Amino acid sequence: MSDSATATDDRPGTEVAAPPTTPRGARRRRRAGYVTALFFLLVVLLLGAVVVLIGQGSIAIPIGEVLRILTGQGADSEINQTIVMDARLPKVVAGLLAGSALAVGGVQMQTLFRNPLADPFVLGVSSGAILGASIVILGTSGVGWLAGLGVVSQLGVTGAAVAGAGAVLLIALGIARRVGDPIVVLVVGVMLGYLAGAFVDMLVYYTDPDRLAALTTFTRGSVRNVTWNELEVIAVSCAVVLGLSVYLAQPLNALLLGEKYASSLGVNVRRIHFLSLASVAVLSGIITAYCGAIGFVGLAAPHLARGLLRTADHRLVLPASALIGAVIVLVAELIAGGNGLTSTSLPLNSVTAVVGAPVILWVLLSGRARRQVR
Amino acid sequence: MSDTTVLAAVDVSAGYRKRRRPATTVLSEVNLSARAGELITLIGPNGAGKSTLLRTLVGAQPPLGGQVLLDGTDITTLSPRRRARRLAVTLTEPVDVGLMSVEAVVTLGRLPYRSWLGRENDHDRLAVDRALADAGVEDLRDRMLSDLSDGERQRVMVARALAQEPAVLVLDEPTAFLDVARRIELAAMLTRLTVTTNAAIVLSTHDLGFALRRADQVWLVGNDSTVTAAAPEDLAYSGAITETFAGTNMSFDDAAATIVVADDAVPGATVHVTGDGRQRQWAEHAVRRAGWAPAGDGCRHVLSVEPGTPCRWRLDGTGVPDATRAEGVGFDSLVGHLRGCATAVPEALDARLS
Repeated sequence: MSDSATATDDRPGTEVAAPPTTPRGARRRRRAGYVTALFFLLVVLLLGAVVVLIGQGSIAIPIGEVLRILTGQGADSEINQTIVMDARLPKVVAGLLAGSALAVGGVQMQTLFRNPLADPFVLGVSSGAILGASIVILGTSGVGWLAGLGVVSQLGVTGAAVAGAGAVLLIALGIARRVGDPIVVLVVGVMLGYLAGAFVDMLVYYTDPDRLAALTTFTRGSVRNVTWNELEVIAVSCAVVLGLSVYLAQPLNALLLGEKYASSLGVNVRRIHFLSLASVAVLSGIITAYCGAIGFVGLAAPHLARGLLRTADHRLVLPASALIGAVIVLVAELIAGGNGLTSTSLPLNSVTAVVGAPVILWVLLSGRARRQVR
Repeated sequence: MSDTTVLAAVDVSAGYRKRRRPATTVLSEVNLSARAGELITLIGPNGAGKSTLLRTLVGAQPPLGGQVLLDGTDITTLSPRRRARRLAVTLTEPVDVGLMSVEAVVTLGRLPYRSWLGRENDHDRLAVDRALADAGVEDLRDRMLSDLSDGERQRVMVARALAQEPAVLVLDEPTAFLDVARRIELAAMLTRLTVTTNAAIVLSTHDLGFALRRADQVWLVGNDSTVTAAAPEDLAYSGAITETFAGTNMSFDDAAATIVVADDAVPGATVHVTGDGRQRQWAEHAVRRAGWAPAGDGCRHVLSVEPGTPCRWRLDGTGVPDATRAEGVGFDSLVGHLRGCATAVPEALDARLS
């Protein structure tokens, strides 16, 4: 991930010319030190989660062995090598990308909607993606799940998911601009999600049961069935869009002041809206197409990032959220069933909700949602 | 102060263009020019088109006709970024940025100068420091914007605009939510800014006293879709301000430089007030409040006021009925007494005269 690099690049005031003797210089240095330490800690946490998650499973692999395989020094046994590279690494990379993508999508949505409760899952964007994908999966004749499809149909499903996500985003944003009250928008989003879900249910009801298995992973969220081929699609598109969000960071900061102020600062508001909406649609559409709807990460990660960094500056919040989102998904996967302690595994959503729902409650009850009403 | 015109409107007509409908012209034939270092106040009654004019002048909406020139260049041909380097605005709408320090908000003003990676260079930091100092918010630098009072927040938004190093600073009703002391502070600050930054400052306000006392130039948006630009004294002296603002029963008070309600004085209830400066001033205030009119020397009633807190007063005069003669302490009793005899006096006078 390029996150660690971004982290060091974006520390505010690292090259301050002010001598360290002045209180302001000292304060800036302390602040820069804190931010660097925080990013360092997040990277360590993420790497730790990656290694632990790879090591644990129905066949436990020692940490040292995992590190040797990952760093390309060769494994003690061929089996371990295969398990790590073909079975566990794709899952871990998928989880990492999913967490980052959803968190970055969440940050952008919260700024775009001027609503601290916005998130791809909560506002029904993921459900829109599922609906889009379902229409293609269930509508096309032939086989079921993505594994059985050629690359073209795979892209077709992905494209449909992105389109579905984009459609819900547009509807939700249209309503949000008219209503303004974050809590009403939240309810609207939840309803849009239900609506999309209902359409999916109807589709399912009238369809051949053979193809239905394909849909069950969708609604619950899982990173376990992702293959290397699919990962290529996810990784490339996520890399492009996460890169784009580096470009969007500063205009999004200006948008925190409101659209009029942003345009007075020379920001092309329409273009930023479009680019940001497109990024969110692509990120949440693709992640939903391959990993299903993973809830609450996009909501919780940005709030945790802002709280830890004590700033809303997107240049710091975006990379920090990406790291936190990745950590959340990996830890959730660890708890949900990657640990081999249980024979059955939980859907990811059951775990992420444990983190996410309290964050929503905290935002609602602490009155932050009310304060941000336009 | 130099004489260079930084912002000019040439034959501008401003208004709204609605889809598939003829444009609504709110203002026409507007010719204005703002020179560097000038403080300009934009005044006008509600609905006359102040906001429309401001939006047109800052390039937020295109003029229906004519040209708005920023540094001699048509503002509609400038890219948003180039425009933002020469022209900054503060708006009336409240800002809620969440967790952001004052310094971070002010630093946003450097956005028009940054590349997309947005690294701050030494000049950026210098401009932010200067903006914070000029707006007098240096000591708030590390506070969170959401923790500040309205007055402080307004000044931070001015600092943010100054960080753009603009040649023209446009403020939309900056005094709207401020109490008297904050207003005066802001006015003094803006006057200082014209000197320190040499920017032309254009601000819209409803505060006539402020508009006339501080401005180098007043742009008066009239009820007849015209804009008159002149020195404040010219507009006040010519009666243009009275004509635009005064409703029925109102007049322009030259001393207070504001519109006042003409008092419903009872006919014949006039009184000559004697006393020193402030006592006399407030005694006349009390007289007006009671429905009487202060008048010159030849008046039948004479009110003398002596210093003290509260003031002693005595109402006397030649040929005045005994019931009217009185004395007391404090303006409350004066107003009460004057109101009591206001209805009785004229009749008594009429009776004696006839």
